[in-house]
Amino acid sequence: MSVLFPVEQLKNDLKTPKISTNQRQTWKIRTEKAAQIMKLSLMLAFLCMHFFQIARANTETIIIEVPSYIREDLIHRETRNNNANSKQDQISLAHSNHKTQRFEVVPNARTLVEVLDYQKSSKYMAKICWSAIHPVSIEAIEYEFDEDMSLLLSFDVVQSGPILNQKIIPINVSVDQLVLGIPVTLFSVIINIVVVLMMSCGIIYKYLWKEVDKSDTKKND
Amino acid sequence: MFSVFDMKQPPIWTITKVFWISKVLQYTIIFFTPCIESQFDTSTTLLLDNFPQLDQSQWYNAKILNKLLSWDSAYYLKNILHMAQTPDGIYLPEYENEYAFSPFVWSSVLRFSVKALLLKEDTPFLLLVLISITNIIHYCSTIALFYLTRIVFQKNSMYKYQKQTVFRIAMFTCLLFIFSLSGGFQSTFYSEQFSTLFTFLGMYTREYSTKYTGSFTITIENKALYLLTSVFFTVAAVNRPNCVINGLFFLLDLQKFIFNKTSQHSELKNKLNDHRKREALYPLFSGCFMLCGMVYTVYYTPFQIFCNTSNSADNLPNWCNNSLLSQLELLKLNSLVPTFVTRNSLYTYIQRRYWNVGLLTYYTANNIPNVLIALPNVIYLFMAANYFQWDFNSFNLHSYCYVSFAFLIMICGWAHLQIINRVITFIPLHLWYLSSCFAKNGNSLKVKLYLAWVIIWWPLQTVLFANFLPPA
Repeated sequence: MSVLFPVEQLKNDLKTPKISTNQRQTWKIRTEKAAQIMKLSLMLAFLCMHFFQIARANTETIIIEVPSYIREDLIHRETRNNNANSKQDQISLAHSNHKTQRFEVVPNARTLVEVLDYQKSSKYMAKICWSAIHPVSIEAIEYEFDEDMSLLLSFDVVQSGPILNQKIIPINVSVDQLVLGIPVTLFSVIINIVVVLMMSCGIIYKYLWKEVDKSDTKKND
Repeated sequence: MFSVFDMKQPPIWTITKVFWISKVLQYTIIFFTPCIESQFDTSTTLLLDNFPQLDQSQWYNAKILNKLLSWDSAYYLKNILHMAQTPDGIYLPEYENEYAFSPFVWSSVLRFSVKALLLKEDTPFLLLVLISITNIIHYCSTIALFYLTRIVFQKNSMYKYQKQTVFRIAMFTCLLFIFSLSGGFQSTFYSEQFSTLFTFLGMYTREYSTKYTGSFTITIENKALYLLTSVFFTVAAVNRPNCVINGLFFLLDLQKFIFNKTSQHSELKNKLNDHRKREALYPLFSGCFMLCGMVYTVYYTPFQIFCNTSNSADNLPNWCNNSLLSQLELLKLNSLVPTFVTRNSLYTYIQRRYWNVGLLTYYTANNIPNVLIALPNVIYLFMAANYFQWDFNSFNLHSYCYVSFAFLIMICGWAHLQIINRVITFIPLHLWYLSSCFAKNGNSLKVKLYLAWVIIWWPLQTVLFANFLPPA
């Protein structure tokens, strides 16, 4: 019984593959198909993502860019002494990269919301959502950093049709950090969409295209 | 596994199995979508807080049913739970835009059903009951479609189909209807299902009561059933005004009775023509009944609510003062039109003001993705109408072709094109086209392409809807 040197053993292994050529080809085809499924899923997911740009239900958005030169002590609530007793609506991003908070706002008036605990050199998407059962629209969304670097979000809640019966309208203000240009809260949705699309594409490959291939083969025969 | 095309199985049993499997699958997909707090549009949480009677703590509400309150469901829910009762005992929506969501038919049906089944509204089962009613209506529509397809293809005057082929066509049509491109909209309490059921019932009674004896020659064999058709079509149309195009069936029947010659022999011809003139009264009466129903709900009722008040003319909505009467005075036709028939109905006014619906207003660059997702249904319906009108040459299908063409013109010209995916459900012609292609050739590329799109779009649209994402 000859004992081979490890390098020789490795060379032998490489020369005589344990996997047959047919198996390799099958795997290759499968890998290619899986890649195609992935590509198709991602393309469709990209198309879905495009919908965010063109139509939003009861949501208006604005992208906030936080510059890098802001002093840390001005961002955080604990260190902002001057505004400790502020009666302004506030939303804090402490220990989180996204937050949704409800506010009761007066229609046909400018609403101001102060965003606290944001990170410098970051981008955020601010969303203002209202329920369709209240015929209002959100207009003129703006943000600004005032003299003491408070991040102020301002917008108008305007009645969009008939005279409102409510004096106060509930709205949701959300601030989501953008990662790769996508709001962090959307990642779970995107994963959900991609998984469903991959399953759909898999079913098509397995049950529809396979049969087309078979029928083509029969015709060729 | 069972075969859906096995004739030994009773068709209702097969449809029942496939239908409820599809529903389980759809609600499983919804179950795995992120919760409403993680949706891009967080307004469902605001909606739920507005209706404290909707118990959010139950797992089936939190994990499944609350996710179905996206888009128009919010308006339907408000109409069901929040319509105020007037001194006359009529329930009215709070704001004018809410009149677009069938307050007098579908919302009222659901409100009465909830009262009858639950006795009180503050139970955790409220959404469950609403969604169950819609699913039962969808299930009944599927069964109605099976029998409608069977009768349509059995009556076919040109091709004598074998029973097995008709069965395959009917069953495949039902499969396509169950897994329709409507996707997530089928899972919640939208009003389309109600109109679809009544349209299919109307189509069935019309097919059952009429007989084609030759080219363009129609006779009414069961007059009561023919008249019942108009009741079904009227219910469908007052619920969803786009179903008004079903009235074309009566117009086309009337045209066949009036203009077509039956016999060369003069005496027999006179006798037959007298008979045909009498028979022509049935489509005429049916059409008039449908027209009256539409005028009552689309013009008269809104006019009484909004325009017939003690308010001065300046405080009235614009559409009230825009009477058709004043425009017809010049033509001396004003005595023919009642005052409440305005140039624009409340429905048209709402659609234009709140959803920017109008002639070709939809075609802007940012709507290209929406047009793309609408294209499969537009193309297949056009191909179907073209095929059955010119190539298939079956007389009883011609009326469906005209209705489909009218529907396409209406949708492509005035509506938001992507809504075709959910409002097309009351037209079965494209499904019949695909089914007859399938019956001829099981490997038809046209069918496979459509099936591939269904396999992608049906779950995808369900996910998008449950996440409150477009398309609406």
